[in-house]
Amino acid sequence: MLMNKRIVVLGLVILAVLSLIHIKQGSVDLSVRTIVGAIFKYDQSVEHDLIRDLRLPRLVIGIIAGGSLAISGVLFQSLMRNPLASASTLGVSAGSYFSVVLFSVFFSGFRGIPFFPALVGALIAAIVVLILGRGRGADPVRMTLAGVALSLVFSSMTSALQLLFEHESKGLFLWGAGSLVQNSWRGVKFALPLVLVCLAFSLIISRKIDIMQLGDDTASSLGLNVVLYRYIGIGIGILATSSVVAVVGPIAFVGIVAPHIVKRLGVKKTREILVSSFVLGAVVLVGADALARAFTSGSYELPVGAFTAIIGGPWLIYLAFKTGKNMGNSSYGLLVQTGKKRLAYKALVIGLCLVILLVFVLSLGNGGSSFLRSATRDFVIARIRLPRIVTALLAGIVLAISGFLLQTVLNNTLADPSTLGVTPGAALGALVAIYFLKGSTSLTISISAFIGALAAAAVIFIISKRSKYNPIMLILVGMAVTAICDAAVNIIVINTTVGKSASLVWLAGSTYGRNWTNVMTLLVAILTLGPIAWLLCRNLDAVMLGQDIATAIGTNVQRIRLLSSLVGILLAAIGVATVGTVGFIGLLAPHMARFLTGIKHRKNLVVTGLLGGLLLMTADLIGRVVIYPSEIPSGLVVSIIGAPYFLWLLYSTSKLKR
Amino acid sequence: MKNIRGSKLTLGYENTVIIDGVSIEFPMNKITILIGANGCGKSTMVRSFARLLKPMEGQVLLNGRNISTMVNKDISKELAILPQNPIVAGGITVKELVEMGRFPYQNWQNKLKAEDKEMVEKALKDTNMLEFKDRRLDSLSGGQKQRVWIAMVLAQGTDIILLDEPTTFLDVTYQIEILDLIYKLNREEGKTIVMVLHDLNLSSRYADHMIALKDKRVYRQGTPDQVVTKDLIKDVFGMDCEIIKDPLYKTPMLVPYSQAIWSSSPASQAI
Repeated sequence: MLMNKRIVVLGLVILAVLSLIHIKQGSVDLSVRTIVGAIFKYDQSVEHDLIRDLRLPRLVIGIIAGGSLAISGVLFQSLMRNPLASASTLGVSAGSYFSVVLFSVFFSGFRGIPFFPALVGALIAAIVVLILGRGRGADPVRMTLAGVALSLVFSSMTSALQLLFEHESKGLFLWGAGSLVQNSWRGVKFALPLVLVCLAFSLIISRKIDIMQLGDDTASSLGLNVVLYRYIGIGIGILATSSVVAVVGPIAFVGIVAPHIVKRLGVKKTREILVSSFVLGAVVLVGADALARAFTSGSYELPVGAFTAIIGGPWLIYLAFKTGKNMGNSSYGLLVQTGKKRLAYKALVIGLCLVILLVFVLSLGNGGSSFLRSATRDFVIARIRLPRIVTALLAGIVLAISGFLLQTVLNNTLADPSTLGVTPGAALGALVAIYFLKGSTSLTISISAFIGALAAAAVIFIISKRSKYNPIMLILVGMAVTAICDAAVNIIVINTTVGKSASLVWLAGSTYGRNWTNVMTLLVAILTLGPIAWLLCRNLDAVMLGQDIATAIGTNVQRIRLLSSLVGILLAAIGVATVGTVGFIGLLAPHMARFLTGIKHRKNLVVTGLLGGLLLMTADLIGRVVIYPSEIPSGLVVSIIGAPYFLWLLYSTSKLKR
Repeated sequence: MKNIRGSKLTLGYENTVIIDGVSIEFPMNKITILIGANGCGKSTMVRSFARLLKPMEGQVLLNGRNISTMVNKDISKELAILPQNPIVAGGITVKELVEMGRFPYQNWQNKLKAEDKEMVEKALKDTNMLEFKDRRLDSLSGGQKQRVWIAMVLAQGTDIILLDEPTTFLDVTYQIEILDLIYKLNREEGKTIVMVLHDLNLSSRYADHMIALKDKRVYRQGTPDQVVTKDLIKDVFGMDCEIIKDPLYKTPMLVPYSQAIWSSSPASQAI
């Protein structure tokens, strides 16, 4: 008890110091005396107004938001019995954010605080993730994976909105990265009562949560209405999250970092965890904001959400690293779903080729406008359409095969370049080239993206080596790397004005303006790495039976895994470097292929490639034609087609048993 | 000259030693069963003989050659293992899984040759699974699934087969069925069988040779009659019991004392 009080007191002291630093920060220097004066002896001077109307609200909202996110993290973690749960890992923040962006697009005149859209989005996300993650006995990893995937779905839909309604949503980018900037007490007045209510209610039910830690059965037999309290608690968490998201935007990791530190300090009782997490969450968020401001000057503003990700990402990696030691490699094989009836392989391949040909011809002929003179027409087709269509086809193949290999190797049907952090790495690389290399051409951007992808992959694989590439570890580290890269991307996009739209298009994944160089790169990649992948497939059949049996029948599992991941990562890096961050293809195509052809990897590989190419080419066609003369980046089209399929897939695999 | 033995084996995980400096040989063409209390290293031992676990010290010798220097595929042609409770993707069919047993014999083309097909067919027949060959694995019962796994191991065509608790999670009917199958393979084809089994009575019935492990070492080995004795059960499992003859097969059979039921406890007998 005594120690727990000490933690709270220490936290408050740190918070006080940080607060003072925080208030002093900004374009105008202020003395401590002025600050104290502004609070207790207001004299209507400019400095006092500045403190009262800008700096204090910012500090207070930081404290409220940090505390609130932390308690929602505590609630999610204990009620879902998932140490990795938090608003950001479960997709709740992303859902909330998407809903707000959607709302502002259609009600652009609205000037209030978009609390209800935020709440609705958060609720929907939470319900979906609970349904998807339920499976057998609410496996935490399964739920976290569903959350990551759900976040991916929401964020791709959000970026679709941002691109399509650039004007309406332009003010949201800074908010979307999470920013504490306030210019009145309005946000505080709105959030404070809600957060206090959430804190009060969570303290009231904290005793029940303690009992629930004994397990549902025990708690029930002790006379507790487990289901009721679980939903009340999760409801409070959602309310706490959405009231914060509505004011300051989605801020990642505070909800994970604060409760974890508190638990590591040895606090056991939920009531005490809640109180100390609230204080610590405030410390983390205000501290992050102070740090973010220390790195900037004048009107230049770093979003605190990006900064918490940059602090929290490594924390998550550390956490994964610590726990990874105790996680042996799963000796189980890949859990996949296949169709009840399999199609004849040869017929399937021929059919797919025919469909590809059909879409190819359609793509050549359709571009939204028809041409009068045949010379122009020929020129456009040969120089503009043909290379881009072929690029779409080849990049689709490359990304699909990459996802396929990574899934088999990592024993994880949700692995793909975008969930593993390879794509965000490439995005960061590309943006660095776009903004910092003078006169960057598409070639240098591609090279930089390629390097970014490889670097991200290297980080992920080196860190997860300790747990022998345990699937859970990989996803965790992937999440962390993704968060860090996304944060860096956000910082770059927000703090520069030139080329914002261009980089948004790149980030959304585009087949626009691709040329024969791209085609050649992709072709070389497919011709060299494709056959290697095909050869590896024989061994992957064995690896799928699980490490023990694969070894027993004569496979060198480690070597095959290493080779396949190398090929997979190379393909991903090349694909992403050419067409930007096209997600989902690497997730969807392999699933469809397994569903259609069963479990033999060589058949899967061929069908996966064809499906991937077909998907991206079709997406490219749709993106060009639908809102001509504008264009929807093909990556977004894929996401919009892919997201529902993917959610269904998550749902149906959640019912599979080991 | 075929044989498999361990020389001065020290086994374990990370910093925990589970088997300490044991040299052991499994008799060829016989059924050897490893027994011992939970966590005594039976599975660890079997896994290390199947190169699924690298020894901390010492070596496993297969036909006189150190197993860790051999090409993995060559080992797969000499020795097969069925790990504990294997689980695989739902979509695979019985035949597809059994065909994976021919993996070490195939080249990069991955084509099944006539001989491979024969072996698969024979393995399916031996395990009575021929009629199920196109069924999906996830549509089978526990006992049938286990027979499919054994068929896969048989298709490997090895002389030595290691099995790690092949009957766990199975009903008693299936336990007998699986053990009968293993017994037949040994008697008819002379396969060398090494397995871990929990049921001491069934172990004594099916084993030619038994090895009891305790305190990181081999406590005693020999025929069931030599190994399954009152004093050994007391020492290895810490339990009082009487040993009687199995009324059917005359092998040793264990009748444990219960501490709570007074009338037949050793204490009451003493009075």
